[in-house]
Amino acid sequence: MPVDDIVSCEDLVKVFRSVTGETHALRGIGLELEPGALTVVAGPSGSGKSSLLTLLGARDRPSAGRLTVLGSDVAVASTRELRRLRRKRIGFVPQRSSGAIFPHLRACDQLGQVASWRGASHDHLDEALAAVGLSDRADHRPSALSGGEQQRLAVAIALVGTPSLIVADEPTAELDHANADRVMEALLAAAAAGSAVVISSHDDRVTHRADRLLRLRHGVVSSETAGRRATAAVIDSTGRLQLPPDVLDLFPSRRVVVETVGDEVRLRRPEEPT
Amino acid sequence: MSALEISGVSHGYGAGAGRVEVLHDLSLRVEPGELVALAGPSGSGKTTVCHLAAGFESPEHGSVTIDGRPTAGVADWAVVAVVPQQHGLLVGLSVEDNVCLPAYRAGVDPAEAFARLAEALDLTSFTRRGIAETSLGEQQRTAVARALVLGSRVAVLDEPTGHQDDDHVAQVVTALEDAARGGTAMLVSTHDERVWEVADRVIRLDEGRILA
Repeated sequence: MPVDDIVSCEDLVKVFRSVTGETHALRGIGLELEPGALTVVAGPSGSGKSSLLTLLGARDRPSAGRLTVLGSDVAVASTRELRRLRRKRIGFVPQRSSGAIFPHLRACDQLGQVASWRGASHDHLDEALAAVGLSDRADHRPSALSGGEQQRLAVAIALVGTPSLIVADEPTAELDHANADRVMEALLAAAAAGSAVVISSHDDRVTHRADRLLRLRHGVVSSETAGRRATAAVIDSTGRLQLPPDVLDLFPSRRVVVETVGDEVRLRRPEEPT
Repeated sequence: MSALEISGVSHGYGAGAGRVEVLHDLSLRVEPGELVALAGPSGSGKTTVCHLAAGFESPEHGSVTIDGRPTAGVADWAVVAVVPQQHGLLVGLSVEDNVCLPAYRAGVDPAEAFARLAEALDLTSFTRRGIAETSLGEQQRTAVARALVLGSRVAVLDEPTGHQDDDHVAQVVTALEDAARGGTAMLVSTHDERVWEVADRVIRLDEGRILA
């Protein structure tokens, strides 16, 4: 693993077993997350986004494959080691934001508690609340906050002290436009300050601001877009290549000429019959 | 008479310094067969309106009634069905049993309604799964199906599309329209413009008041 990778995984598999059978949530994911970039994981409902983010946040262990988070091998690390990692170095916003907030603490005290765990300064906590539009809620407990306000508080908690890794599962799902924009600005600022940020989203307002966009489908990465320039895609075991929709639109007839030029393969439209 | 009538309601939470006033003299009505969207920024009081309409809470001032009866005393899914923000599904039951539970309790055969809703909301591939084995988006559609299974007099849905991708948003929106067409009075709290587009009326809240 290159030293500057925050997260690295290979052939990552997650299977959930229950009395009704097995659910293969992830079927072999490989990716690296680097500091200073915001990665968005998109994909339809049930495609494995939350399972992947839970693993990347070191909150669950893989069924198979290799996963290294901030230098710890998540499959074999002790529970104590993973807990320390999560508390000190990973900001996590779960899909249900109520899971990340302490019900009995005022908003400002929640940030103070997390800053202490992360060894971060207590000087800028007011600004952290302001960044997600909660300045006037500092003295309120979560029970007095709406669902959207709780979600923004969970984001503010995750960002305290700019941890090395920030994982947020649909952090804008319950937010109106203005607040979704605020949350995205805060996450992008954390990436600019050096955190590796990975979030899941269905929201076009969010996905178009990513440094990198991964699309999941049935537990595998179906396409990857980096910086909206080069597009990476996956070739499956039978040799089929799935193109992202915007590239697919270049081939309205669904016919393609494949040219091999040196070590490059080019796809172009066939000549139209005259 | 309106199916759902909220009249002169003021409501808040907490006491002393932590007191938050959420709604200020709010009135609205939803007629049978009408789809009303409740819009407004985070913290504007949408969920509180849903809680009151669903009868989860009684208003501190004013009244909330369904066909003239206070909703807080109703507790009958055939009268008022709900999708709470946290969905409120029973984790020990399968997707199918969650959807059908209100029908079982009412002594109604849910087979036809379940088949129709499972198809309309794309639940067919996981109806036998436990709730814990489904994604949050799948849980949200399950909760929508449960709210529509009885064709209730009133349905109150709090952000029913927040966890859906585009294709599934369209399915949920169509299901909401169909339910309204079937005569249910629908109150839907949502940020989603795709719901606003099909709504008969969009009521905008700001700091607990309806914007004119």
